[in-house]
Amino acid sequence: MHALAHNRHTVTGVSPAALAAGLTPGLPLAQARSLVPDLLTAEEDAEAQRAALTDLCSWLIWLSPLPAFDVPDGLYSDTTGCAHLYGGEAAMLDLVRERLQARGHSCSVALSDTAAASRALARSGIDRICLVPPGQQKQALHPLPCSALPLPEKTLSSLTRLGLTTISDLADLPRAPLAKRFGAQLLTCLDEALGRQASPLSVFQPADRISLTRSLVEPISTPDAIATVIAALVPVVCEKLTARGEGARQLDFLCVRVDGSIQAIRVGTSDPTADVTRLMRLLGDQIPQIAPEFGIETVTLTVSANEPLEAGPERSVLPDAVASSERALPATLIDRLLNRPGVVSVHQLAPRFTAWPEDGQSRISPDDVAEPADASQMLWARPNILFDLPVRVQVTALLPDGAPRQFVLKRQTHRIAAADGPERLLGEWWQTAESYGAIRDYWQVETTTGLRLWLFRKGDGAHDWSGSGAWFLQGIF
Amino acid sequence: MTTDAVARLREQVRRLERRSLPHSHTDTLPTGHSAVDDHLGGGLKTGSLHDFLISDPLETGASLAMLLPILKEGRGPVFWISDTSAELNACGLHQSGVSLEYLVCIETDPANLLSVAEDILRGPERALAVIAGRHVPTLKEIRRLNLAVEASGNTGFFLRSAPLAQAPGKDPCACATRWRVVSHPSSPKTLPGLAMPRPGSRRLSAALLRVRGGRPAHWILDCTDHAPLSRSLDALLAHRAPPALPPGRLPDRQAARCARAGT
Repeated sequence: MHALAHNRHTVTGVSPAALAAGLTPGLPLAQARSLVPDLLTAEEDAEAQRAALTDLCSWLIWLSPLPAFDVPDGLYSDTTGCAHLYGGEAAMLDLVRERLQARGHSCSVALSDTAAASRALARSGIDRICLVPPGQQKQALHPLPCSALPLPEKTLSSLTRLGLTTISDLADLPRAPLAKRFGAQLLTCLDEALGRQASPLSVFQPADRISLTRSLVEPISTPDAIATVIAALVPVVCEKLTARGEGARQLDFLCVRVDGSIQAIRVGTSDPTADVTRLMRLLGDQIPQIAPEFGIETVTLTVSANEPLEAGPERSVLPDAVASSERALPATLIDRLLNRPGVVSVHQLAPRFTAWPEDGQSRISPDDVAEPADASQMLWARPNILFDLPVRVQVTALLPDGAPRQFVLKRQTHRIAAADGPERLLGEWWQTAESYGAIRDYWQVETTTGLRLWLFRKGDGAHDWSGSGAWFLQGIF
Repeated sequence: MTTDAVARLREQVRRLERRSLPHSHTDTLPTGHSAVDDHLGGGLKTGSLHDFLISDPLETGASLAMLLPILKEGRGPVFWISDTSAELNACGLHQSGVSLEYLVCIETDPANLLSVAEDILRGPERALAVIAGRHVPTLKEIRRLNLAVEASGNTGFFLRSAPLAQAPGKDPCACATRWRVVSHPSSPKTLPGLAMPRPGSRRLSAALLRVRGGRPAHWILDCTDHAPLSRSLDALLAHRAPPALPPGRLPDRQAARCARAGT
């Protein structure tokens, strides 16, 4: 492969056979032809190369979610925290090379603490694997030639003229004269390679997101006009989603105002959907949140999260008739509630098995409810209303460990006519030191007026280590 | 000409009476108490609002004992809307027979409570809504919700705190029914070996303060929804073994023997 540079054709890429014949990239084409008379060359096509690199970069997502370009012929991948998935760093590098070779590429792979060091190491030799242990990139970089750093041709040639051939020569020199002689770029390259300076990667985003942008003929500002725009965009988005067999979980609707600022609304759905009316109603409910001011000139509708339509939490194939038709949670209504301004939380309750009743339930997002655990095993009744913070009450009992006879709550005396208990609960001694040996005796009581309450005493009434003996009101039956 | 006018008048009357609505055939939710159901003609009407006044926070349980069986009968999931975090207990509700899968708790701003309720009640989806808030809805707000439930056939229940002294419940009401349910002493059951009698089956004093097109009434209701003893007697007593009595404190037989020895 050759390309025109400085009015002469230069070899930019060679095949392994040509490499064996002594051709290297950078050689003038005329010289290469004189070395190998039957040389087959093709002119470099930068556009096709970029497309192929993009293709390869989106393929590299299997390795880690953060691939990046190193134009014209390199790729970065930030594999922090990914190596264990492939059985360690060495195995991961082997796998990368193996897969690249299977695609027909000859490559050189390097892994080190910094992206710039990996780049230098990978470019210093073809077809090899280089794994630098953490913190040792300095030693690994020192024997490399200066040309491994991404420096301009001019700097490289003047470095060679001065006899500075390897990176170790450079690293040993005082910095100030270097900067004065060669400019800041040399030091930046050196620092990035040695890990003294962080170099951000521009991470590649694969273009698979459904996004529609419409520029409006003239700025709009009324709710009706916004609704019309939404009505025009949503069917197109749904069509695209349906074609991919996917449903939207989150939609972003961005309105660019005349003054250049952006008004954004975001709606989420509880299950993947490509239903036009449902998405239109969700977005339509959010129109009051948009402040058009002088008018909106461009709108963008983006599907920011999508999922395959049929996936999601398993639903039984043959639900019983009542559950499916009447009682099943309406996903459309749940969506509207979740996206509604003014709603603090939408949740369902699920029992948990814990020692203290106040921890005995968890809030879960709707439609996430598993089959409730077998609560018929529970020997004792539980109240319908439970206070997370038990209320302190003054109780009179005949015996310190006996049943309560009356209690005072908010200066009001309630006499107890009937009581059932005690139900003794033990603290979770395996969790914290405080709950070691902690005991609560729960009583279900009925007052003379018929109130049914759930009282408990801290401790067994006899031993101080089990609790203070104070009484609390925790629930209402 | 005249028939035309009559037809137009009929149409107007029908629209006033709102008979043309799709859910005009009203369904009822039985309360499970035959006396109440007979009085109301089958139970609480769907497609309307029902108002439950709670005279004291401790009396909430009585209203729930009345309300939860009704919710069980209803069609569609139950939405529990409140402006504070609802103090519902999953284990207790499960024991009361409420299926937790179909109960959704919604917490809102106090200002948005009724608008969220309207959204649920108006929507095409079947739903039952329990609106638990401190805000006393005005007649206008309730009529707005009434229109919503009439159109959709959903049912709403207000569960609001109204102390007896401040709000006796005589004020005009746009809901279909208004209740004040308080607890009533039950007949405790004495079992051998227990220091205190056990509470008997729950008893409620339910006052129907207002009902649209009917007479107010008052009942003492026995909630016999569960067996008198939830498990076998030996298991029950085993868990409630009386504390070991200190020596010298009146086991009857020993006292009798002492008395006999003394004579």
